[in-house]
Amino acid sequence: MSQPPFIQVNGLKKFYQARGTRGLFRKKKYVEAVGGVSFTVQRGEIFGIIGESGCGKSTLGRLLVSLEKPTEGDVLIDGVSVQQLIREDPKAYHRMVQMVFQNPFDTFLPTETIEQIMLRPLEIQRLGTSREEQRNRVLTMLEDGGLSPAEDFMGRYPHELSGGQLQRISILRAMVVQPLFLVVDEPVSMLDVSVRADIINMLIALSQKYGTSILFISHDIAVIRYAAQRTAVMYLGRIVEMGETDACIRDPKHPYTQALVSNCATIDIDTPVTKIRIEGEAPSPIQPGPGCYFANRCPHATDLCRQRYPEPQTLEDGRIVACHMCQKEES
Amino acid sequence: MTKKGFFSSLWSYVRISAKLRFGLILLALIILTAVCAPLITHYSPYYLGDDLLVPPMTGDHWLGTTKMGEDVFSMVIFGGQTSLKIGIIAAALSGLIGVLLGAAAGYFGGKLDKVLTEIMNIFLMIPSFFLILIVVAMFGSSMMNVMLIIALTSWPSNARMMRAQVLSLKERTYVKSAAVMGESRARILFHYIIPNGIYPIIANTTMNVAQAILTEASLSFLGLGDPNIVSWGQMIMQGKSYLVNGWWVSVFAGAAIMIVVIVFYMIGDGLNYAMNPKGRGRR
Amino acid sequence: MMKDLSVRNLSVTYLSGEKHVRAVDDVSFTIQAGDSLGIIGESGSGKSTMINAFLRLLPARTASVQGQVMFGEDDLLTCSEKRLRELRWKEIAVVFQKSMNSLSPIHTIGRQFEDVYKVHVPHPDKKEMHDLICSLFAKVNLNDRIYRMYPFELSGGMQQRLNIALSLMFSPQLLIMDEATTALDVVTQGQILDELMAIEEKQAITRLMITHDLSVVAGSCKKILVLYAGRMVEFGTVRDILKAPAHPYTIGLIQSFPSLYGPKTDLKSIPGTLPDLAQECPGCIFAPRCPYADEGCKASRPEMQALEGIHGAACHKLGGISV
Repeated sequence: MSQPPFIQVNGLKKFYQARGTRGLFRKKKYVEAVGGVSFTVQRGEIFGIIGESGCGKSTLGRLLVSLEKPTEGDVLIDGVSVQQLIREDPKAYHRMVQMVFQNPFDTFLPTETIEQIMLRPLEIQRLGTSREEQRNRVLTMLEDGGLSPAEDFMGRYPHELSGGQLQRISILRAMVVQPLFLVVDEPVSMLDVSVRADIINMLIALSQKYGTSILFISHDIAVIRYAAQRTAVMYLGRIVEMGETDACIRDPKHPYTQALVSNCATIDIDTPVTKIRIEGEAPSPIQPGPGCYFANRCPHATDLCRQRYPEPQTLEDGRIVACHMCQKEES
Repeated sequence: MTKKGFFSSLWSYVRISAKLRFGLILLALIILTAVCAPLITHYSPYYLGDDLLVPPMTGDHWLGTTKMGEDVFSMVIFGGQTSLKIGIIAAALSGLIGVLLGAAAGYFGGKLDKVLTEIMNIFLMIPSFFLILIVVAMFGSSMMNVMLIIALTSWPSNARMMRAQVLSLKERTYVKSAAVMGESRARILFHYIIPNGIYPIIANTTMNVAQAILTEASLSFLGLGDPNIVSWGQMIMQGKSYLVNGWWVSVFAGAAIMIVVIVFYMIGDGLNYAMNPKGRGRR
Repeated sequence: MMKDLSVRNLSVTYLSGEKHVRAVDDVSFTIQAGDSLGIIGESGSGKSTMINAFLRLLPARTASVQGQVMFGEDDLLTCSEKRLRELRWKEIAVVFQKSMNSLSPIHTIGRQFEDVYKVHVPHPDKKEMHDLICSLFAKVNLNDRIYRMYPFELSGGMQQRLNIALSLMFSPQLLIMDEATTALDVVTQGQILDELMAIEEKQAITRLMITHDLSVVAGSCKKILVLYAGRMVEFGTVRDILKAPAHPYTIGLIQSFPSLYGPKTDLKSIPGTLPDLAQECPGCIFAPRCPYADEGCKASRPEMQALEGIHGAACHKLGGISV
């Protein structure tokens, strides 16, 4: 870990104006979709983000590929500020950062062939000296991605392919420009169970082959455990726990992670797990503070928890936890 | 390749809706008649013959003649040229303006959207026929003016539709993924969004053709059409004064308007029906 | 009265034009009252079709249903409409994946629950009714405040939980959940499944869970039925299926499923895609994707063979496969 972090996310925030508070004379309220998220990803590492619906993990993904502009914060990729790069050379930025979406059935224009779809990023980036070379590059890519014979796939339309094949093409199209950073948002949740493994294996193989750093967003903890070396757990727009994936699952420190993992359905019927009950709902993301956002559901919450949002603490094993109670145990 | 997709989907619509199929066949016949007008009739519509106000089927005047001795049949056919030309060009122009402004409003959002939406609302509020009357009265009633003013008053319905389409298509994954891929905003709009959202506007535009033909006819009937060319509205106006002893002048022109309008409505309705999977289930 | 659910030779064929799609093909199983069965299948396995067939929800014109579905003394497929309505109302409760729209948008949640309650108990005791409804809310981890709220004030997950609560109102004997918890968050799903199992211990509810997610069934059901392309491939207890899978499809499915606590083994997908169900398939339906298949598998259809206990699988190669 001595080398400088490859991808560095610094205090990324995204606020939306709350519905019904637009207008001149109304008091403005903001929804905190992502409330200050910082983490780093190493070269070739797969970094997992887990959390339930509404925790801001998808917004985070969209921020990282600049589909949305952050309210605050920046991302450094190999030392280069993304905000600056977008202003100066957007094309170079799109060569560095790519994304794979959840729904492979809607990722491509229904009227384009796989050949047109795959060639497009090369055309945009003007990579390759001739059409022939670009085409060969795409063919090799498809062949390597398990879509063979590649020549057969080139002329086909998206609706002729299965979800698994489409998701492969989505990944390959993102990888064709050899990006440094790839964000994948729930890449397997719309696919049949029996083809999910191929997609995840493919992502792992690509990250190793090209040294691409991957941010893997998912609600499925078992999938994240299989794919990601390190993981961050998000709750209401903030990271509550971050560390080695296995450690986070075997020995979660934050009460929310504990509840999340213990309630996760698993096929390991021999591992005894006591589900931790948590009551109530997540608070509204409009002004959830001032204390810890999880305090109202947390079985260990104290007055301090309700008054002040806990600072992230680094534990001995390198894990980062934002919880007052963990701090106390350590000291 | 987008074109191929466009035509193949049009073809699938034709297969779904009998109404659309029938409407397109009739339209083809009507256009063919209008285009081949000089081959079908040997009278010029401007030729003043010796038979004055003869009833239909007199000699070779199939539909009779007017008070001035013009052949009604050739007037109906040549009038069709005028009506179709005005209707189609005006509606297409209105569709084009609507698509561009609506797409811009929906895609770029923000202030531009607010301004354009307000403009659309204003246009939808003012009584457009009255506006048309004023403009024609001020700038003269050449065919060009009539087409332009019809287009300029009918685009907001198209624009609203396009705007709604863009707003929903903007959230589709393929648009997002195009943006991440680094496509330019213009290309996203013209390649990814508009071709996929234009079908309802096409349906609406066909209906607008009918509307434009009616508007032109109304103008001509009021004497505000282009006086130098034959049109159906003008014929009805001419025939108005001798409806009792020469009914054929107005009636055949009126029938022609009715048929063309119905045909365009059939096409529009058929397109709507074929493109909307929800509507299909109801039949 | 305890009623078993017994399905005998159930087949559903969709007729579309010239094509005959065998969506469900000769499925038979029995579950005792108080048991819970998870029906596992991927998209196109016919699991939802099967449930719709049970409840006679398939359009008669395009779907032909054969076989028997015995619920106690009644055959759900042939009993009178009136009897079916009675059963559906009192003894069988169903929750679908997208029941979110089943709540009326203009009435409060409490009012809607009261209305359902009143159908059964025409002159209810106000207090009793209120308490019962609140206890239902508690079962799905919702606050009493919900009583006075409207559906639009709730998230999709909360509405889905209300539907589950509603289905429990009259302690049904048979509870059918078609991907009912799939859209829920991890924590909520875990808690609701626990709650269901606790209720079952007290009231002997028979539960059918239809899902694609093996892990949901592993933790909450006693038995598992694996469907592939409309055919039953394996049946057994959760332990049978997860620890000693016999059918190559089940083995493949488990190998493609990541574990949360176990050793990290490489995941493997099942190669190939679902066969075209409009084509006649004389042999084993899984043969084209099966690594162990030979000519015999393609020629004749395997019968369900009994293994230990209730465990059974439909495969010619039983015993000859090493996991």
